[in-house]
Amino acid sequence: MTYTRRTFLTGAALALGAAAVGQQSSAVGQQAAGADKPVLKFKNGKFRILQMTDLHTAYNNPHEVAQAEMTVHKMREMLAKEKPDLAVVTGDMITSGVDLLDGGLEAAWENITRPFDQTNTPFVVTFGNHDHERDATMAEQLAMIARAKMNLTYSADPTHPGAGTCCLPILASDGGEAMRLWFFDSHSSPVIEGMGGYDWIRNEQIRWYRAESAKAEQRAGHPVPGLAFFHIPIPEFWVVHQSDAATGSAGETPGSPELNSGLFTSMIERGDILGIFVGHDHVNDYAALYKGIALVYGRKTGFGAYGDLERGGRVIELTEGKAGFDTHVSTPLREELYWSYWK
Amino acid sequence: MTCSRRRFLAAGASALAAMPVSKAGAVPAAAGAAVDASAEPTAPRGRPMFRYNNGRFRILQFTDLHNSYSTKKEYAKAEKTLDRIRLLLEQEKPDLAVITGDIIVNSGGKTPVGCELLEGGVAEGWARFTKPFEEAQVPFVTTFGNHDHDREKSVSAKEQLEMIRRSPMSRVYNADDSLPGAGNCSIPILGSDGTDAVRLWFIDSLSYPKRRELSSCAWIDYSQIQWYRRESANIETLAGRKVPGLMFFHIPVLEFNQMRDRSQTFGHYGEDADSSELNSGLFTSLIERGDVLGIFTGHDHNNDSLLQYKGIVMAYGRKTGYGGYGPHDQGGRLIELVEGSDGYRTCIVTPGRTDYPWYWRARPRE
Repeated sequence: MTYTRRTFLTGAALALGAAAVGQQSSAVGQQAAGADKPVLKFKNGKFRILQMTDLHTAYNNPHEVAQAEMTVHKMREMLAKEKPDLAVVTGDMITSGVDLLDGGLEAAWENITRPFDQTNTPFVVTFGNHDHERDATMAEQLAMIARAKMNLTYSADPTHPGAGTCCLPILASDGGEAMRLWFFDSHSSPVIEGMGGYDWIRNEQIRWYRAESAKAEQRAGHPVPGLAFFHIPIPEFWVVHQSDAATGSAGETPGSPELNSGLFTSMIERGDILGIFVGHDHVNDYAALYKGIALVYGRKTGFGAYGDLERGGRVIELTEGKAGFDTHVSTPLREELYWSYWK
Repeated sequence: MTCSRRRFLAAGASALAAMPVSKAGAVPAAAGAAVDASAEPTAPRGRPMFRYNNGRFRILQFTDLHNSYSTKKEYAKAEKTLDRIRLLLEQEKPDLAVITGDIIVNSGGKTPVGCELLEGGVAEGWARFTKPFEEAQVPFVTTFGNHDHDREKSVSAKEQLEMIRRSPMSRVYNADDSLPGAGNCSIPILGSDGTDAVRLWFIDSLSYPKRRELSSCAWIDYSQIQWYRRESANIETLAGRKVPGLMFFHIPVLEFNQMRDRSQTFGHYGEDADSSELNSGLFTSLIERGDVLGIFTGHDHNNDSLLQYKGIVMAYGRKTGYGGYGPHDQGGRLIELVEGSDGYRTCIVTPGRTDYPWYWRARPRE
């Protein structure tokens, strides 16, 4: 395998040899379990998630390539600083120009997944609208991502629109399910004309969530506390956006779909989701509580595209045996916007 | 008993109602078949159907009667309301009446029942309500409003549905007993070729959520939305195409708030839509299925407005009842379907006149 521009980011591309091991079957309901797959588990009663978002890596010209390099460097800095048990990237990871990159789209995904493999950090990605805007299908792109050994993303149901809608348990120290993490593909443009700028999470995905949530509740004997991650904020963000109750920057109105497909209401009814973490609106990084569910923006990580917030990520800290989380925004230089939600 | 033309049609409809749901191409018994209406003392147990009447089908929507028999004053208002209904049925001679909820309420009594002054209690309240339709021989369908649910502790929605169904003019039924509320159902209007031309949908928009802090009023449930999606898909499979639909329920959905944009809204939007704060996604499902052309609700008495939003008409009825707050030009909303046309027309009607310009709407998305 020749390494050309692909190696511009680090010289450690050799580590990718292990990537072939990663196998993410899209069999219905299959968890990311397997001999080599990391298992998420509370350690000393704690579990730390680092949410990064809106990397916007692009390769159309040297400036964009440089930005992409800086973005990957920022990811490395954040991983080194926070040493999370799990990293989640909530979308808009690659924008354009992959044809100009040696190795094309595969290489572009490797650039993003490499930092996780190199630091042995389990990771999940959720696709953003930009990730949809290319010829490759979402399933094809997920397969590329799945080559990374630390990848835990999978498609719970291959008939779902998009890819990567799935869930993962976080185990308690005794091996039972303590919490569950939910990941949704929030798609890009509506498939029906005239329905506004952005698509909505679909009925099939909501149906899947409700069914899986009910199964988890049945096994545990109570709703299993969970967090949800996806790219495009749901319309409910508008309610908290206009209130004083949000902690953090609210630089732009939520770029949510015009149509509400009822995901939030389903989460209220299931009673398990503690918080929803999104990206998409680069100048927003606030957290707010709405009807008992936290609505939270990540902090933009990537240099590509607009937005003047200091690049970094959001740390979410979970405590075993308690339903809730502590969170704050973190950059290599500082920590800020501490916020908590404990039931 | 003399068989007037209206009874003739109604009798035919009763006969049809006993048949199973038609498949595409199935031709029911001719509408003119002579059936003795008195042989069907209670509402037909099978799935009801309607037919285009000389290429037209007129629906008269009544809403928010707020009939109460708790105090003498309320009792008198209820009688006045039923008289108004009689008047409008005579004036408009619809093929179907739809009453979108808050029919019997409790406005003055000490308990939520609302029929304390009636010997026959709630059952009599419903019997009085159905009488004008029986007299005029107009089939009707009801959808429950939040107030109709107020007496759940003494008489459930399902029990009240059965009281309503005692009327030979009732066409409402429970399509799925597992759904919350009662009377969630759909009824086809058949074209002259006997196939599904239009589907009418009726939903119980329920009353209050279990956790009151979540929202001042309930939202249409996930299970009801899934039922609609499944049924809509089944209907499409059977017909080989999307069958245009009209949907009726009491409490408007959140999307009705778009009527704040007065530039596109016909009629009176006198108060903010009092919908659930939580959006359970019904409107989005209607968009995705692409068959329902219009939603018709009640609940907000000061509103009789209409707005086409993302291709779907959202419309309030005109308050019919003298009980409860609201304007004093009680009436109804007329919806007229024309077979084979690209849409339907609708306007507000009151005794002696119709109010607003007719409104056309195109057929469902391909």
